[in-house]
Amino acid sequence: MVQGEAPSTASTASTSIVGSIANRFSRSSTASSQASATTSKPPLPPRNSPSAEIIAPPPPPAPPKAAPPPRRSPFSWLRSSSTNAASATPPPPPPPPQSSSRRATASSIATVASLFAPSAVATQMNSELLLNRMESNRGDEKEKDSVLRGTQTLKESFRKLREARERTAMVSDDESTKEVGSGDSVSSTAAAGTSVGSSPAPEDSTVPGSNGSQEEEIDWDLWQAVVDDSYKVAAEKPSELNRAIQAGIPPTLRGTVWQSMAASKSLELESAYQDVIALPGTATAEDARTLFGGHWLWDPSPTSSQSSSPKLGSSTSPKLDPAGVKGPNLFWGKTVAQLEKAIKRDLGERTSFGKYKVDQKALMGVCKAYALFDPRVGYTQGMTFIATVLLLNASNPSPRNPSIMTEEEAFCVFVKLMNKYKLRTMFQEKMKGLELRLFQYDRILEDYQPRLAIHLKRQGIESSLYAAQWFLTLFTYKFPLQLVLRVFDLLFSEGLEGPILKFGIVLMGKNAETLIGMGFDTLGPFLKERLFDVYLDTMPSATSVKEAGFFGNGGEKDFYRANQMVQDACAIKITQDMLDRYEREWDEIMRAKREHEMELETLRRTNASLMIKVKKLEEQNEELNREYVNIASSEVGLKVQNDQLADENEVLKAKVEGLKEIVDKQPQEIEQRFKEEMDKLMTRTLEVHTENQNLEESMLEMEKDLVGTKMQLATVNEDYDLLKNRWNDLRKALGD
Amino acid sequence: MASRDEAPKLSSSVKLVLLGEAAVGKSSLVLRFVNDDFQENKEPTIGAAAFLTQKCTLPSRTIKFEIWDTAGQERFASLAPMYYRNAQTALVVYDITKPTSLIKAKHWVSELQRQASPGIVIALVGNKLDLAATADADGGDVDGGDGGSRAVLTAEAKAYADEEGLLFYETSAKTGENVQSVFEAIANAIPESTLKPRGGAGGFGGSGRAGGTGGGGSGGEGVGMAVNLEDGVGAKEGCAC
Repeated sequence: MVQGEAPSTASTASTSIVGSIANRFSRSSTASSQASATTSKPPLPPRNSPSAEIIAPPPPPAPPKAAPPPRRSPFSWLRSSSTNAASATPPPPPPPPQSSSRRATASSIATVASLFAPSAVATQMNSELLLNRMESNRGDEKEKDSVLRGTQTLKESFRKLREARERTAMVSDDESTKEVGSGDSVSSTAAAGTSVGSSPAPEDSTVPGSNGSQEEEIDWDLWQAVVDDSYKVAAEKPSELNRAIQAGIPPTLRGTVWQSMAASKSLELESAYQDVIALPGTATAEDARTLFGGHWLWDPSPTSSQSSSPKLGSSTSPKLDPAGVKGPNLFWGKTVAQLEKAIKRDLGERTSFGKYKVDQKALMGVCKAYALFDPRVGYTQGMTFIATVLLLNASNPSPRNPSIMTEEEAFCVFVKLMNKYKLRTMFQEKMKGLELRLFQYDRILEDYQPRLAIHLKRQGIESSLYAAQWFLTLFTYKFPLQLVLRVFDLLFSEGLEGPILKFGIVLMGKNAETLIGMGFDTLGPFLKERLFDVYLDTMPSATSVKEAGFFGNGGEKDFYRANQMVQDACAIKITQDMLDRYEREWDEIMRAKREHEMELETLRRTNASLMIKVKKLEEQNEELNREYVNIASSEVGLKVQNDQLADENEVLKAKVEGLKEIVDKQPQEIEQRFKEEMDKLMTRTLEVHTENQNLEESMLEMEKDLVGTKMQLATVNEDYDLLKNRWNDLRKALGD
Repeated sequence: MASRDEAPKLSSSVKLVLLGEAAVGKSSLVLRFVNDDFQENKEPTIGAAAFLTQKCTLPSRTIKFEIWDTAGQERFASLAPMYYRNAQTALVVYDITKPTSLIKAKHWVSELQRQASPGIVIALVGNKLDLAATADADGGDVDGGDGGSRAVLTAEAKAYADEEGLLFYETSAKTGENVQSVFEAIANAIPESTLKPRGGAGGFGGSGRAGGTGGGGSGGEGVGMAVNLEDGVGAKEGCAC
């Protein structure tokens, strides 16, 4: 929480710095030369402290390029050794002991190693990681060319640096001797350190009158070899290289060695970088793509190391499918101006290394260029912290420090770190890499510190709370720079996952007892800011004082036992096998989780479709119910009707019964009546018949009467006629 | 339900998570609340949360907040579920000078409502109230584009908070204005039933409510609205159980 201490101790550091590297190397790297270290302290070549160079403008010594002719010849052997690293062919000018001492050193390693038991064990394991790392850094065929060219440049600058060193060593001979003396008094180990330097450093003999200085222990041959071909060194002298790296890369060489271990140097990428940071505010990743050309990173597979090459062949660029890039890509459409605004917010005092006065423009440049270089990852908070550490090794332009990284080189290293070292997977969309790392960390913590792991779990503190920032920023977020640089040394040589887990575990282990005694309240701030206090050096040796002050000591008053931390970390046994196992476990969990999710999803979907079905069925049911109700009610109606009908039927039946009876009786009655009628009629007929007969008889009588009458009438008529005729005869007789 | 524990004050731990866009002042709010301090150029929170605890004493009980502060940058959003898991309360922070931050805050609110523990108490907090006061006075702010004047109206955010049933405050981590009130209001709004050491929820319900009223009052400014909400949340919680 307390920040902003004035960078005051810078000057004091610079004075006590000299000889501090000696101290540091005395811990382990000097062991490499212990075979011949039985002799008493021989004077070693004195050199200016690098921090003195930072603070003060370059003193008298001429810039390296203007090296006087006589100086050149002693280093001509370097050229041969650059192709044939540390070979046993010493040309006349170099001193004969060179190759032999080297061999002796190598052979003595084994015995020396036993003195440092933990790191010796670790060394063996680490060499595996180291070799893997170096091999994968070498990259594919396509890259090799540019890497080779880059390496050439590195070699060149390394050579210049070495020359410059040796020249200044002579000039500042006397004063540095004094300073070393004081440094020795601070720490007893420093004494051992000074005694060792004589044998491995061939330049001792080339530089007459050399006395002990802070660089006396720099194993120039080894680092030269690393710069020449880090893979070869890793393969041939793994333990030596391991030891040297664990002892800390000499601050003056750090920038160069990092670059060569990462195989990052690429002149094309560097020039592309310059073009990209010069892009106008309205430009986007699309514009940067053309500038980066074949380097442009747009869709590497995050998992396979093969395809995670940051440099896709230029042939892939035209095939770019912008639609595929855009999708989840947060930074594709962002303009440079937008990016700058986002990054700017995190600059200045907003990093824990703000006090070291890193070139803010360069920091902006590196972050911005990376966001454009890798638009899928873009700019993520946390990057500034890492870039700062790189730039701290870059922003020390000094004529006598030609091998210090430039801003462009820092960018190249950052690109390597993100891609070859797979830092990128942690920053990627969804941060799957980070989750995996946290899982591995949790498991390894359980293995090494079961009590602590349980305690933290009980307190409700998860690694995602405190370790996420370690891993994302590679310990740069809150850790003191002295320790961070050493972490970086290790991870450049071994890759990310091993070292960051080791450092995490070792810090937790060292603090285990303290942590177990803490509750949630105190655990939080402690885990965040006080974890590295166990490595506080209460009696700082000259080495740590000097190292702390290498970057001008930004007001840091504390010194840390960085060597101890690195040794402890390397003693933690984390094998590739373990990492792979936990990664598989993680994959398994993720797969199970995915499956579970998928199952859930399918279940959810089936559920949804079933719900629809249910709803449909319910509707149908309702419909049916309604129908049923209708039917039921009509049935009821029918029943009622039926009852009525049954009643009616009953009545009718009775009626029928009655009728039947009636019908049954009727014929007899009718017959009887008929008979009676017939009888009546018969008698009547008889009566009528007799009556008729009587009438007929009377008619006959009447007819007879009639005939008699008619006969009488005719007699009458005849009488009448006779009478008439008589009348008429009378009348005639009378009248006439 | 028998309240056997009649101790004068109950102490309970409450997990509180802060969410919100980058650079709205989440960590600064925490720093102000926990240490009563303010840093002008705080470093960005990376990935993980800084976690701190702070007590909040109410008439009826003492609430100990376990504060999980999260990184605001979009990229870290995928980690958020790890942090808000099991959180009983959340502070969703936006910057009153930046309308986009309110949009992001709304996203967080809906994510929490969807995925966080049911019954989580959410407070919407508009930070950087000090900038609203300075308005146009110092337009040339050093904050690089961010340091403008108010751009989100109180009424607008308040209406949204009411609609979603959130506590709502406008604060300034810089001046400390309303910071204490937010946490007090949250402490009051946490339903008794979700507190870890249960001391007879029924017995303390009444006094808790009384405390709630007090806390809301101290919010002042007419912005606080904790008074009724507590009952609402309590009721909701009751249903959920």
